[in-house]
Amino acid sequence: MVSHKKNDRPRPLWILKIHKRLSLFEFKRYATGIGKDDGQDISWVLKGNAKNNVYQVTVETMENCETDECKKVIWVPDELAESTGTMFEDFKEDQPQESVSSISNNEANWGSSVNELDENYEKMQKEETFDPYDSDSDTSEDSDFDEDFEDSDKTMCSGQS
Amino acid sequence: MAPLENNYNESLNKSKDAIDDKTWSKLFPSIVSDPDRSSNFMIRAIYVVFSAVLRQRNILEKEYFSKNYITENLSCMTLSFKNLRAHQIAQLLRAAGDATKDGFLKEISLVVTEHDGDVEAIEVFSMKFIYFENGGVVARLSTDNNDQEDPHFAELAQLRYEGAESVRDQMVTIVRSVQFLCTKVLEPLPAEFTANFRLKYTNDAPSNFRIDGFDDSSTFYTLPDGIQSVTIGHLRPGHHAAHMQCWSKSMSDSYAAELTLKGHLDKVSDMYAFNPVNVLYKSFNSEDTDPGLSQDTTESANDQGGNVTSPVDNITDSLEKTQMSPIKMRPTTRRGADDSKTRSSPYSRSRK
Repeated sequence: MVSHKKNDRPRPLWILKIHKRLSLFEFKRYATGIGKDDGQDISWVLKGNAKNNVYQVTVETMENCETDECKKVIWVPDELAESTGTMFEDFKEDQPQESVSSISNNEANWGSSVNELDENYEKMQKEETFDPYDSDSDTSEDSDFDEDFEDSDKTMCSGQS
Repeated sequence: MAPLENNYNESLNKSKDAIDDKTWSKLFPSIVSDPDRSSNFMIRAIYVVFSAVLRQRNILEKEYFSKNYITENLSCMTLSFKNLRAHQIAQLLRAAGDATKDGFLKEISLVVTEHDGDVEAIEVFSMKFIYFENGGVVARLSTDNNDQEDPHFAELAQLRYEGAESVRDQMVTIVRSVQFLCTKVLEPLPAEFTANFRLKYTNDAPSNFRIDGFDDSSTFYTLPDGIQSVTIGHLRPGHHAAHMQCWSKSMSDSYAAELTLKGHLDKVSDMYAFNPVNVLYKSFNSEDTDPGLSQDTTESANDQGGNVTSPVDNITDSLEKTQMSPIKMRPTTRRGADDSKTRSSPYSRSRK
């Protein structure tokens, strides 16, 4: 699994398009191929709380807004896809039938048992070093902004001549 | 600032008209002169500015936000992708911002009311837009009656694009003004309130044009008599212009508020090395026009009882469920406060 330094990975702003849905069970079969071989970011799924399904989406990232590099294909858990509202509803109505070849060009773990799939998936989760849900993955700090308003500003606010 | 010119400043060399600021470029385009990037800038500006309002006005809690930097000296809390409700709202703002690409968005407002479904607001943060064609010189104005009554659009039409650096300074001015206004000028919001976004379209928008997440409404919002307002700032990239303003019952005097804002900006511009923008304050120049009731067909992000939950409905849910309180500010006594009761207009002042 590709390891990234904190804050190096582009940060999504919003979802632009929902492409595909996989059940979580199906995703476990293809996860290695999608994440490692195809190079798609699956950290939001690995570190998230997918219940039943996962979705392939295009997101716009904060960085590189002047080029197409600001659009990234990633996989997200169902709750994030659902939070797009109308976009998600439209996708459900128009959802095409997925074919195996359209999901990953790499071989799925067809020969693995359910237990083996679960074990491999748990291993992937542990090996993924980037947690996008971790507050440290942003530049969040305790204070909202760096500037400390001085007393003179407070005086200006409270007084009228 | 450079003097206003009637014609587009063709001396601006686009290859050099870029913001050389790595921090800025992580969030905004470094070039804002051409149509696509002017639109892209406006989409992100809407997202950033209203994120700042939601956070600094304490309408949403801190967990909804992530910290980002606009410039090295200016950070701002923006709606976070990983918070589901925040992401819903960000999607909503993006969808509204997309309408600036085609010139369909006339106004986006964050409307705070005492109760869910109220038309009359107790506070409004509003951004209004106009669009420029032919290299960003000729303003494409709507022609409905409200435009004739609203001086903001005429003022926006007079603005000229003065280079990318100027746009960055305009953005810095707006964000700093929002931060200061929300935390140091406005009194706290009531303990209970609701908030939602409302949109108004330009006449160029097709009659069936709709933005996802918003519902139809025949009324935009109304403002109570005597409510005070303050100009926050403006943005003028290559092909767009936007004016931001706040009306609030939590503000006792427009003149005092705008004067305080200006004083703050003058001070911090020296401290943090950005060029102060000539903000189009109202109380310094002329009496504010009462925007009154807007009867245009508009859309408001209210759940009309359908099965789909509007993203903005979650703001209401959050407030109702958590009963969020505004920031607990230190009580202050405004000198001359008693005089405000006797004022005949927002701009008359009594001196002892």
